Amino acid sequence: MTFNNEFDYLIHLVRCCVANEKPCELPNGMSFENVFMLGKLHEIANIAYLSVIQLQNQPNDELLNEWKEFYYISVQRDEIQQKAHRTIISRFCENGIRSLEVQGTVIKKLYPSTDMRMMSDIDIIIDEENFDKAEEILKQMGFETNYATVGELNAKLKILFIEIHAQYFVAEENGGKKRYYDAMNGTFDLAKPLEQNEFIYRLDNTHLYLYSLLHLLKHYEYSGCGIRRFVDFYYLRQLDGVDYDYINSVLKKVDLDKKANDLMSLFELWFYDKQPSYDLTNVMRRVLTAGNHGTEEQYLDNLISEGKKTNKSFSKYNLIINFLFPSKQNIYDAYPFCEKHHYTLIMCWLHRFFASIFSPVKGIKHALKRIKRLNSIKQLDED
Amino acid sequence: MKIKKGFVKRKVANMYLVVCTNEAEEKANFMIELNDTASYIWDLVEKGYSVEKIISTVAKEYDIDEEKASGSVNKLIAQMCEQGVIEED
Repeated sequence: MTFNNEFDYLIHLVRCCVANEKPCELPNGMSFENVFMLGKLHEIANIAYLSVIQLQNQPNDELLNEWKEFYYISVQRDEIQQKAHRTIISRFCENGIRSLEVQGTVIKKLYPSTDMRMMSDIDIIIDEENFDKAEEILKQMGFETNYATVGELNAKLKILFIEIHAQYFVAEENGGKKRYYDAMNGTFDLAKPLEQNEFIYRLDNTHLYLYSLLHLLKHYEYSGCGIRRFVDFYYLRQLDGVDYDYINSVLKKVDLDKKANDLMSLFELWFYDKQPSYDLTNVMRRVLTAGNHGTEEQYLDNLISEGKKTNKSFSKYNLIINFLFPSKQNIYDAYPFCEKHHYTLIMCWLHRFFASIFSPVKGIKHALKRIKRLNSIKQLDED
Repeated sequence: MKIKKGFVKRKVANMYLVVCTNEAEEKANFMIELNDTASYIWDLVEKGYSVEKIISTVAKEYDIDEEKASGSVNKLIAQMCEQGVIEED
């Protein structure tokens, strides 16, 4: 087996863990430090650890301990998140709020052990009319709350981040993002209550798969999805009764079928050695280098590694300039029709420019704070 | 004697890990590794067994005399008490 770089080897370690295969030793010229660093960046270092401890030649004690600690922290984090999730759902039920759990909390249950699937926040969908009641409950539990946007209530308590949504995807999005709402809306109409509790809803396997795929695509399109979401598909593919024809027809309708095919081909290459029928180099590069799940936090984390190479600092000026004057590729991502109709590029750019100026941008303040923090971390690293 | 609320044992890799899940707990970063025997003793504490009953159960399970079992059990329980994982009923 040949590995071109540490990314390849990291994916191999993860694959060996999920598929219960014996991992190959670290190839010459590669470093465990880099594998661990990339694993952290993609939030799969915990899974990789389970393969690393099977190796004959393991990392040095210091690194192995650091890696183990990372894994243990992911276990603890999982326990804390699950406990909080159970409590919140139970409080919602007591108050007559029906809820639908989505993303990490559902997907991690497909893994052999829930701690293997790291998640940054707990996503719950409820009816919008219950937002005030939900906010009150979260406040009583000690959470600080705020509305990120219409239809999205955020709550924070120490390491716990809760996102309460009213929809699978935001209806008010412009440009390409609107396609995700068009592909999947209707919220509770697509889910069924549990037999033992009428307030707790679950998606059927087809819609769970579709929702996960749409999320993967959305994160891929709008700054990066990382390897972790591909690992999910190792388990999602094992679900019974998934109607792939229906999923493909939905994706085709919103013009996401080609991108979905690209990503699933990459998944099959990584996890089943299935050679793609066309070149996936650019897709792979984008997944590997562009952050884990498309948050500005992860994006900025990537900037830090980039900054280490170029020795640049991350200034407010750079961020705002990049934000107001996005690259052509970013415009294509936000306005997919533009890629086909190049003459609309200038109109899209103007729309984006004025929308950026006149619409409040929820991420920008957070990103600026984050930059400040990252610059100080970078400074520490340099010191 | 019982396990303090918020401490949970999880099977991890090739051993067991006790983590604190109580956000408000001062020992929020607390974690201890347990081997198979320690994990077994943990389960008995969790069941509410007395120290004497734990010793006799461990001795029977591992086919060792009670004196030897007593050493291991008392040592582990003393450690857990010291770390604030166990509290009196």
